[in-house]
Amino acid sequence: MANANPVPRLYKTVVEDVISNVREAFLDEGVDEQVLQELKQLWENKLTQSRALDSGPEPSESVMIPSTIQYIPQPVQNAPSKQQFIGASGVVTQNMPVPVQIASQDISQPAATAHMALPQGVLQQQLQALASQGLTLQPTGNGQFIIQALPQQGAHGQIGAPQLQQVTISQASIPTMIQQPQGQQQQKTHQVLQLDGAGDSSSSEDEDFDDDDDDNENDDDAKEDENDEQGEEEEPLNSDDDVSDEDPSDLFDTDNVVVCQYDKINRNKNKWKFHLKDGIMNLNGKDFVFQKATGDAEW
Amino acid sequence: MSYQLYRNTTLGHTLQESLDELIQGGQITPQLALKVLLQFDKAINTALANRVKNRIQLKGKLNTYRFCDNVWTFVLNNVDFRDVQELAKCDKVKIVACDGKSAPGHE
Repeated sequence: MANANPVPRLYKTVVEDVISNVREAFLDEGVDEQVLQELKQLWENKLTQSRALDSGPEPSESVMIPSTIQYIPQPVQNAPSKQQFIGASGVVTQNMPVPVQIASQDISQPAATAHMALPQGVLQQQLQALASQGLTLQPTGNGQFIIQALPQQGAHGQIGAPQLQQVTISQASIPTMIQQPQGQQQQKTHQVLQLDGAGDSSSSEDEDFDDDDDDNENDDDAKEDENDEQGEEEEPLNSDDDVSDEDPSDLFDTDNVVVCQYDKINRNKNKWKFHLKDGIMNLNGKDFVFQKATGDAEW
Repeated sequence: MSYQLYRNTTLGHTLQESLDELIQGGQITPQLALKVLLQFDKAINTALANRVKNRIQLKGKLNTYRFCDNVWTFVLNNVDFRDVQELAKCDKVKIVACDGKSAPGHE
């Protein structure tokens, strides 16, 4: 029993003492006993919530689920419960851990054409992955794909309104899906870089596209270098201006607080000795108490 | 009257919040809340003086010190708090200490 944390017991004692001692004051003011009980309840609840006197592990009530999958509260009746929902940011997890983004505007073709624009293998993989979950891709008018439940699973073939999520698809390995309106796309699609372009079909259109890409990249890099050099020259001029210590107001604002009384404070040159007593400490979120404390510090 | 020093603790803050809620709800008056706090000061001072038995040691670097109105305020860095069983470390801690000898009601 000597090893048990004395803090919770101490706090309970204080709470009890205070409540009993103010009962009279409450009655004098004509306040009902019930209010007194309410005060006690509020106080005790806040104490347990604060976790400052817990000596055990933190409560599991507010466990955050570190999932990258965000659930969208849209009813999709004919979808099985094991479906994977796609987060609002368009990140498809599990099977396709690749951020998806199509930066093209002009896909207004029907589904068949758009599908054919993709290299077969990659799209098929994605379709299969989605199909295993009961989903499929449906391109919309503005160049994005919507993941919808497979028609076979439901009464209605097309799911118009209750779409799961709009997903913009762009893998690094998928060349821009538009091969036809190439010219218009060049400014936008260079953002969707092919990192492994060598493995793709070597049509002349692709090659031109790559060259343009390289030119753009080189220009960007050159500009960045210039900016860095200028920044470095400027920094030394400004960096030593502020030599003051941390702001006093910031310095005195800390979460780790010890509230106590002092018996004696000694100093010898820059060596300080503290003799303290009757203290309550809140360190790293937890509460401690002491009858006496001695301390050494160098200034 | 005892030191109101201990109102700035978990125990003190939770009590003040609870009292504030009751005042908001019109169930108690501010004067009554004040009486409760005064009673709290007495209770916590007594409890600390009589019910707590442990000693601790602390070591660190003194960043700042202040002595005003007989109250010492220290800010220490890289502090070790040592009890018999355990050790707690903090990067930064503030110590507020009132005079233990001339505490109101102290013998």
